[in-house]
Amino acid sequence: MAEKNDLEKIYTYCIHCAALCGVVAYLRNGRLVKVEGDPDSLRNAGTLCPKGLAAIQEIYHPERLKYPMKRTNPKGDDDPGWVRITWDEALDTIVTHMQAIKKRYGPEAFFFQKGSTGGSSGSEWYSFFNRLVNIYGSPNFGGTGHICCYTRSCPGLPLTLGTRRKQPVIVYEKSDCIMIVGFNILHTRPNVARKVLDAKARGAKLIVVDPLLSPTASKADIWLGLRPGTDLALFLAMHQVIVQEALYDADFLRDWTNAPFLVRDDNGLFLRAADGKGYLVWDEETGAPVAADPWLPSAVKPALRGSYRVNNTGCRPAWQLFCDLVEPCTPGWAQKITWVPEDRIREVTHLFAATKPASVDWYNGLMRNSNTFYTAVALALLPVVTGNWDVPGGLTYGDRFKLGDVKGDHFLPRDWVEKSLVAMTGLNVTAYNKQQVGPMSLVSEAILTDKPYPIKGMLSLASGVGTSNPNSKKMTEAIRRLDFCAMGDFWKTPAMDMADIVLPCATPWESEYVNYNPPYLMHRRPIVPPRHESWPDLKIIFELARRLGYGEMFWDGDMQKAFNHLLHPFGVSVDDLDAQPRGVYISPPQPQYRKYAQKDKQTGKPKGVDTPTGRIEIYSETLKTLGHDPLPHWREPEPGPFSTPELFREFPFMLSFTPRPMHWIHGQFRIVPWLRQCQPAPLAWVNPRTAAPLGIQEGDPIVVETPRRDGTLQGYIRIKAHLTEALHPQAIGIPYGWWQGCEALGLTECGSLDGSTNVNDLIDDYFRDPVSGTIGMGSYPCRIRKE
Amino acid sequence: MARYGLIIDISRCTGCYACVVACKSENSTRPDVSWIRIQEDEEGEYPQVSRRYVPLLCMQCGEMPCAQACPSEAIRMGAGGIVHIEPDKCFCHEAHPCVEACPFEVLQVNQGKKSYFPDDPASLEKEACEAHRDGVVEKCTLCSHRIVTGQAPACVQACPTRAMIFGDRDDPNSALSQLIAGGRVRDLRPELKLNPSVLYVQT
Repeated sequence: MAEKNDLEKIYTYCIHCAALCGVVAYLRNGRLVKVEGDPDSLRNAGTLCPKGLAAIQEIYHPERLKYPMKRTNPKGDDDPGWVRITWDEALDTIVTHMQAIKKRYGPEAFFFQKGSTGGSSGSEWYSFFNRLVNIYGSPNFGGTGHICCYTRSCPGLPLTLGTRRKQPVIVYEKSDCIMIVGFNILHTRPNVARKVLDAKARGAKLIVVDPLLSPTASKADIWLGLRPGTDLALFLAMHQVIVQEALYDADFLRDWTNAPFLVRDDNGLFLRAADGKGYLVWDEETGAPVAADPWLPSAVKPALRGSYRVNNTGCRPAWQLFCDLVEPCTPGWAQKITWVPEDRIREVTHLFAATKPASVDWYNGLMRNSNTFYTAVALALLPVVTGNWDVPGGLTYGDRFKLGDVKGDHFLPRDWVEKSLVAMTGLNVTAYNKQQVGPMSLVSEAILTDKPYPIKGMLSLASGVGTSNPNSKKMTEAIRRLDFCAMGDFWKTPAMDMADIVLPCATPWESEYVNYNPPYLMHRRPIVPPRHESWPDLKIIFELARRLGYGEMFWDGDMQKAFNHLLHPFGVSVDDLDAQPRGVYISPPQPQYRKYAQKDKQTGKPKGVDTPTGRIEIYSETLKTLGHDPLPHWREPEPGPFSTPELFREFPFMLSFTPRPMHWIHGQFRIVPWLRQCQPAPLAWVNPRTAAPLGIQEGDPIVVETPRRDGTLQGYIRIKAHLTEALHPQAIGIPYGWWQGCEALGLTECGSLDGSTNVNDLIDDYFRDPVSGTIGMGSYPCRIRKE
Repeated sequence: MARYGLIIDISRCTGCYACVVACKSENSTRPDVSWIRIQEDEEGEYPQVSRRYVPLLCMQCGEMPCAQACPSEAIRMGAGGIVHIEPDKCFCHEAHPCVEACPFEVLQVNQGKKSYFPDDPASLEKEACEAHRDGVVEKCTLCSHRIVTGQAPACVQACPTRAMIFGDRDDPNSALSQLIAGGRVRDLRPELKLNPSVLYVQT
C-alpha cells in the first residue's frame, strides 16, 4: 500500500442517499485507488457507509453500459438486437420523436421519468430535467415520491399542519422520547443514526412501530410489531387514551389549533360569524359564541367539548368531533386490529404523552397502504395534541437555504398543469404536486387505455421504471406499447428490453454539480472522467435542450453559468467554491421554534400556520369539501384479511416489505460485488411457526404467489427462506428491489417477471388510498410453498 | 510499548456492513476472503424477540492460539501487540491448523478467484487483490499500516454509528482504556482466557 502522500486527494461528497457525506477520493496517476469518509467533514467526520465506500467498484464495473445503442429487432423480440450508435444519432432520434409526439398528440403525451436519489447523478439534476420538461410543456414528470416520501412532504400533512414545501425536522439531540414508524432510520439515514443512538445513550426512549423487527426496531426500548397496514388503528387508540385520561395540552389546542372552532351539525362545515368573517367558538366564560380571526382575546376561554346551538344551528367544537371519533377506538379495540396487546398500547401512550419533549418520525413504511393518508395525519397529530409541536425536541418543520430556482415552472402554462394525469384522475390539490404524476399506475393505465389521454413517448433517466413500481407486468407491457422510449442508466435494467434507445449514464463520481450540504456550499467535481462513452445526466439534458431549440433558456449550454445561477442566492460563484477543498462554509439557519406565535410585522397578530384557518387543523374543512373525511377515520387496509377476506382464503399470509439495509439504495447496486457480498441473495422472512408445517427450513428455496384483485394469479417469485421470529406468523417479509445479477460473484440476473425475485411483480395496483392514491401493497395476500 | 485494540459497542452496532466494505476497500482482500464479518444473534419469540449484531474479526489475542498451532512459526506478536502472519513463512497446503485453532473463525486462506474484475485494465483493483497470494492465511491486521500514520483502522473510521473505538490499552488516557476502566467492557469469550485486545460492550 503506497503512502498517502503519493496520492492525489479530491474532496467531494457522496450522493447515494440524503446523508450527503463528505468524501475524500485518493487517486494515483488519474486512477481511483479508494474513497473514504472525509475525516474533517462536519457532516460525517470520516464515517462512510458501504455504498460510498464501494465507489471504485461502481466506477470500474465491467458491466456498465458503454455507449449509446438502438434496437434493431421489433419490441417483444427476446433479443432487441442492440447496435452501437453515436450520441448524435441517439439524441437526434430522441428529439425527433419528442417533437413528432408533441405535434400529433400534444406535449402531455410524452412522459418523463426520473429515479431516486443515487441514480446516475442523484436528485441533484432533477430540477434541470424538470426545466426541460416544463419548456417542452408536459405536465407529466414522474418520480418515486408516491412510494417513498409523500407522507412527509407533499400531501396530507400540509393540510393539517400548514407545512407546504417544508420538511419535518426532528432534533434528536433534544428529544427525550421518539416514536419511529415504518422507518429503518439507523440504516437509511446514517447521519441521523448517530444522533438516534446518542439520544438513546443519554436516556431518551425509543419506540419503534414496524411489522418487522428491523435493525432500528432491534435498538428500541419498545418495539410494536403490529399487523401490517394497521398503524392508523394504533394511533387512534393512542389518541383515545390521551383524550380519555386528559393527557392532551388543552391550552395549545385552544390557542393554536382549530380544535375549538364550531362545526355545524348539518353540513360538517365551520360555523362562521354573521358577517362571514372569522370562525366561531363557544366562550365558556360568557356562554356565548365569539368570532375568532382566527385568534381570540385572552379573556375568551373557548370550549373544546360540548354541543351548542347558535342561531338555531346545532354545532360542536372540532375537538368534540375528534373525541367522538376516537372514543370507540380503545386499546382493546385496537388490540384486535393491530395484534398489539392493549396494555402495551397504554404503556406506549403514557410514555409518549408524559415525556416532554417527545416526537415522531416516519418514512416510507407509511407509503404502502390504502389508508396511508389518514395514518400520516393521525400520527402527526400525536405531537400536536400533546404539546410537542414546533418545540425543541418535538416535531417541527423548517426551511433550508435554497439554491436558485432552475425548474422554471413559469414555462408550463397553467392549463397544462390541470391536464396532468394526477389532476385528471381526481387526486388533485390535496394529494400531489400536480406536476408529479403520482402513482405510476396512472401512467401505465394511460399508455394501455389512452385514458384520460394517450401517452406515447417516454424518456427515463436513472430509473428502474419497469421494476420499481407495483405491478411490473403492467408497466413492462405499457412500456412495450409506447411509440417511443429512451432510457439512460449505468447498467442494463429489465425494462430496457422494451426501449428504442439506451443511453450510458455517468456515475455521480464522474459528474459535477453544486449543492448546499450544510454547512458546506460545495462544487462536486468529477473524481475521474466519465468512463467509456458515458455522459452525466446533466450533459444529456443540456444537449437535448439545445437540439430542441431551448438553448437560450438553458444558459446557452454553459453549465458553469447554470451553476452560478444556482449559487446566486448565496452570493458566490463556482470559482469561489473551487478555491477551497470543501467549498464555502456557510452556517445553516438556526432552528426556530414556536414559529406560529411569531408576530406578523404588518398586522401585529401571530403568523399562525399556512392552512385555511391559519391554525393547525385537527379538523379539515378542505378535506370535507373535497368529499373526504375531515378527521382521520379508521379504515382497514386494502387488500387485507378483513377488507378483502375472499383473497385471503387461498392466499392466507400477509406480504410485507423487509427493511432496506444501508448497503442498498432501493433497487440499485446489487451488481456491485462488495455490496452484493453484504447480502448475496434476497431472503423471504418467514416465522418458524409458519415454516414448520410447510416443511420449510432455513435457506430453502420457496415460491411466493399472490392474487390479482379478481383472485386469479398475479405472479410468483422464487426466493430463499430465512426463518426468523422478527415477524408475526401470518406475515411474510419480502425485500424489494431485487432483479439484478452480479457476474463477478457468479450470480446471474433473474429477470423481473414470473419466477424472478422482483416483489413488485406480485402486487396488483388496483387498491388505492382514495385521498392520496397510494397503492395498497403493505399487507398483500400471498401464499408460500417449498420449491 | 503500545498494545492497540478495539472496543465494539454492541448497543450501537446496527449490522450495516460499513466495516466489512471499508476493510475490503482498504485492504483489497480477495473475493472469497473477508477479514471481518457480522454475526446476527436472534433470541426469543415474536413479539418478545431481540436481535444483536456482533462484528467478528481477529481479536489480537495475547495467548495467540493460532500461533501455537502454526507448524512454521509464521505467526508472531508484532509491534503494537498486533498478531502478525508472515506470508513468506506460511507454507501449509492442505490443512491449516491456525485456521482451525481460532475459536472466532476469522483466519482465512487466500483461494478461489484472485480479483473481482480480472479483465478490466483500468481498475487498480486487480493488482491490489492479486497481491494476496494463493494459499496464504490472512486476517485482520488492525490496519497497522494506517496506525503508523496516525490513522484509525478503516473499519473504525467508517463505522456510521461510531460503534467501534480504537486505542492503545497501554495508554491509560486513551478512550479505550477509559472505557475498560468504566467496567462495561467484556471479552467475547472470557472462558477461553485468550487475553484479546478486541473487546465488546455487550447489551
